[in-house]
This record gives sequence, C-alpha cells and structure tokens, in this order.
Amino acid sequence: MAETLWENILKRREREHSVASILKNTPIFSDLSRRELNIIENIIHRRRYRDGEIIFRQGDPGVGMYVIAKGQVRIFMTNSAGVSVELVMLQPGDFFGETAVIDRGERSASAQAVGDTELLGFFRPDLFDIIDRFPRMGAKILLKIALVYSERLRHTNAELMKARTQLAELRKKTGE
Amino acid sequence: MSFSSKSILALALAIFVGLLLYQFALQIFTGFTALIGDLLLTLLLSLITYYIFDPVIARLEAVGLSRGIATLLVFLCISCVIVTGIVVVLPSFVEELKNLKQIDVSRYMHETVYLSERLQSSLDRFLPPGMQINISEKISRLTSGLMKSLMNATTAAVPQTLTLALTVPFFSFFFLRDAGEFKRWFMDFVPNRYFETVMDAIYNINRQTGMFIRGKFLESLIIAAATFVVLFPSGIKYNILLSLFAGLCNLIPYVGPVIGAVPIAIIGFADLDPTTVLYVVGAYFIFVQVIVDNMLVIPFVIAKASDLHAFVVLVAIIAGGKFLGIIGMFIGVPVASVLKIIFEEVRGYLLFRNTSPTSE
Repeated sequence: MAETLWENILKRREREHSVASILKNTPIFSDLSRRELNIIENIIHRRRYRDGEIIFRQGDPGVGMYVIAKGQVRIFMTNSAGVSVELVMLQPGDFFGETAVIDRGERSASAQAVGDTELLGFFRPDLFDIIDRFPRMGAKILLKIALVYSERLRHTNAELMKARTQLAELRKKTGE
Repeated sequence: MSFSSKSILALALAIFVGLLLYQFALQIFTGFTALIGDLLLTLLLSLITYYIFDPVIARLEAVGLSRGIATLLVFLCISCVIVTGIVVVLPSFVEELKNLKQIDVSRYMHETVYLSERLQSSLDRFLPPGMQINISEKISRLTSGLMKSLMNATTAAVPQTLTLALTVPFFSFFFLRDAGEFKRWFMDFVPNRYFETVMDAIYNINRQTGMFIRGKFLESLIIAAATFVVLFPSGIKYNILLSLFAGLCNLIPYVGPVIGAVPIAIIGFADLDPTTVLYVVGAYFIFVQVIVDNMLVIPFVIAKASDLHAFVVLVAIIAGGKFLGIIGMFIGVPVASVLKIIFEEVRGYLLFRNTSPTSE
C-alpha cells in the first residue's frame, strides 16, 4: 500500500518534471523561472488524442497553441478541390498553433494526431489570465511570442526575396 | 352495470393507495425543491461574491501573493467590515427595524390608505359616473395584504438569512481560491472535438458575466449613495434603509426605480410636509435616476449585451420570487441577464460553425 503511494507520488513528480522540461524547451516559455513554470504547469491543459484524431480543422476559430509531449502531429492543408497536402510532421517538443494565442482568426491548416499523442495546450484565455495575475510573466511570454513572429517574418521575407529573384531570372530567360 | 362489493373495495383501496402515493411524492417533491432552491440560492450568491472579488484577488496575486493567501486576506478584510458593521451599525439598525415594525408600519399603512382615498376623489372628479373604479378600496386591500406578507416573509427570511450567512462565505471562499482548479477539472470532461470552442466560450461568458455583475453591484452602491445624498437633507426617517432599498430595487429594470420611490413617498407624506416630499421624490427621479444612473453609471459600467425585454424581466422576477423567495426577486433579473449572455455566446459559436466553409 505504502509502496504504491510512494510510486504514485514519485511518478507524479517525474511527470511534473517532464512537463516542466518540455515547457522549458519550448521557445515561448524558455525565459521563465522555475516558479513561473510551476504556475504555467497549473494552468496548461493536458489533452490525449487517439491515432488519427483531428486536433483542429482548417477554418475553425483558433484559440491557442499546443506543445507535443508524446506522439506526432501531422499539419496539413486542404485546397478548394478537397485535396489534402501535408505541410509538416511535428515531433515531441515541437509546438504549433501559436498564432491563435494572440489572434482570434481562423486556423490556416488542420492538425491531426499520429499515434497515441499527448499535447499540452496553452490558450488565449490562459494568457489573459496570466497577464491579469502575473503581469511580469505575461510580458515575458508576449515578448517571446513576438520573437517567434519576427523570426517567422524574417524567414518569410527571405523566402519571398528568393522567390522574386527566381521569378526575375525566369522572366529574363523567357524574355518577358 | 353492477359492481360487486369486492371490486368497489379494490377501487377504494386503489384510490386510497394512489392518494397516499401522491401525498408521499408531493412531500418528497416539496422537500426536494426547497433543498434545491436553498442550494441554488447559496450557489448563486456565492458566484456573485466570486465575480465581485475575483479582480481584487488577481490584483493581490499581481503583487506577489499566492492565491490562497490573497483570498484569505480579502476574506479577513470583509470579515472586519462585517464585524465593525455588526458592532457599530447593527444595534441602531435593529432598533430602527423594531420601531418600523411596531410603531410606524401601521401609521404608514394609514397614510397609504389616506393617499389612495385622495387619489380616488380626484379620479372621481375626472371620470364619468359610469366608468368610476374603486381604486381606494383596492389599494387599501393590496397594502394590508402586502404588509402582512412582507412581515411574514421577513420573519421567515431570518433562518434562511442566517443559513446563507454561514454557507455563502464558505462556498465563495472555495470558488475564489480554487476557481482555476474547478475550470480545469470541468474542461477534462469536454471531448477533444469541442474543447477549444468550449474553452473560448467559457472565457467570454465568464468575462461578460463578471463585468455585468460588478457593474450592477457598483450601480446599486452608487444609487444607494446618491439616494442617501438626496434623502439626508430632508430629514426623512429611515434614510439609510430607504437608500439601501432604492439601490437594491435598481437591480430590477423598468419598474425598480419606481418601486424604490414608493416607500420614500409614503414615509415622506406621513412625516414631512407635502412640498418637501415632492422635492425629494423629484430629486430622486431627476438627480438619482436620470442624471446619475442613466447619464453617468449605465453608459460606463453596464454592458448593453445584457439588456432584457420587459416581458423577460417580469418572468424573471416572478420565477425568482417563486423559486428563491424575496432574495430571488432581486437576483432573478441579473440571473436572466447572465443566461442571455450565455445564450448569445453559444448562438454566436453555433452560427460560426454553420457558416464556416470547412465545417462538417
């Protein structure tokens, strides 16, 4: 009896440690102190998905982001003809859907669990709650989200420049 | 067609058993509704307390206190205020209530009857002989009935109030301390498919409900204070009681402000000269209701989303009174407003789902 109790307590600690380490390795939470990570642990939602289960659909109103604790997640887009195109296969530790934490827009792609998957969900209401109750921590998280956005923007700009150069070269070659 | 004595006996027995079962079911049902009513009232009042004090606790958390300590601190402050109130205000308040019940009520009832008789005589002069209505008698009957039921209700409300005084702080404390835990526990039961939608809907409902309840609470306090400012210079008796009543009545849209003015007018006509009463009642409507409430308070603190149709207001008051007693009559309308907020929010989500091009 006592052994089982201790096993349960130890397992719980182990699980909490693993959640804390997953969060610590997620860029958005990487600047948080141990105490702040504990607060986040008490706010985030652990969700379990079966193999093939849809996490969210393209066009759904987005509410938040997910960090993969276990399993894989397939991100795909469906075009107007109904054909699905896989964009990326995400692994444990990866995160997705972070745009929805700030912007209440539609999901730009769908997400599907591959294998038994466990996700840590962090949502816009949770962020607002943190901003109200722990403004310093809220500022840290917002700054990190802004950094992720600016990195994405820089990457998109570079890709755009590359595409424009390729297009100009192509035009030159075809004599347009 | 003839009945044998056996079948008559069986029929009588069946009727007897049926009546017995009916009586038994009625007893259980009555007990059950009373129990549910009390529990519901406790939960509603605790939720109102939660919405009023949650931002205060959030502010305390923002300065570094843990939620448990912050909740405890807020409760200590409230307890101090209540204890001070009990020690300083309650004795004179009870004295006032005793006077009101033993001496002044009958005087104010006579005043109401006298006023209604004067109203009757003025009406008789205007209305043609065939169309005259006996308002005076109706008002007199209504007043005595109302006073009797009010006195009974006040006496009956004492044990209920004492129970609520114990249970509401207890429930409120746990709501305030463990709100996050309750929410997470509830969210664990929501299927993955609806999780995000429910999460967002709960957040929006919670935010709007909180704003509405805090707004109404603040509005009632301001109205009570403004009424006191109007009543105090006139020297009218029971000005604190009348101001609190006016503030409480303000929770009821449309008719609330008028109900709040009725005791002011009755007590005023009984104790003061008629010109002063007209000034006081006029100031109550123009300064308190129009300038303070409609021009200053409502545009800034009350959400438009919670506006209710007059018919819904009436149903909410009747249903609140029927199921939750006198307190229910006052909180019936705010509860209906919150239900409307929930309904609008859920409808918004359903519409979004139906119009979304990728929805299934």
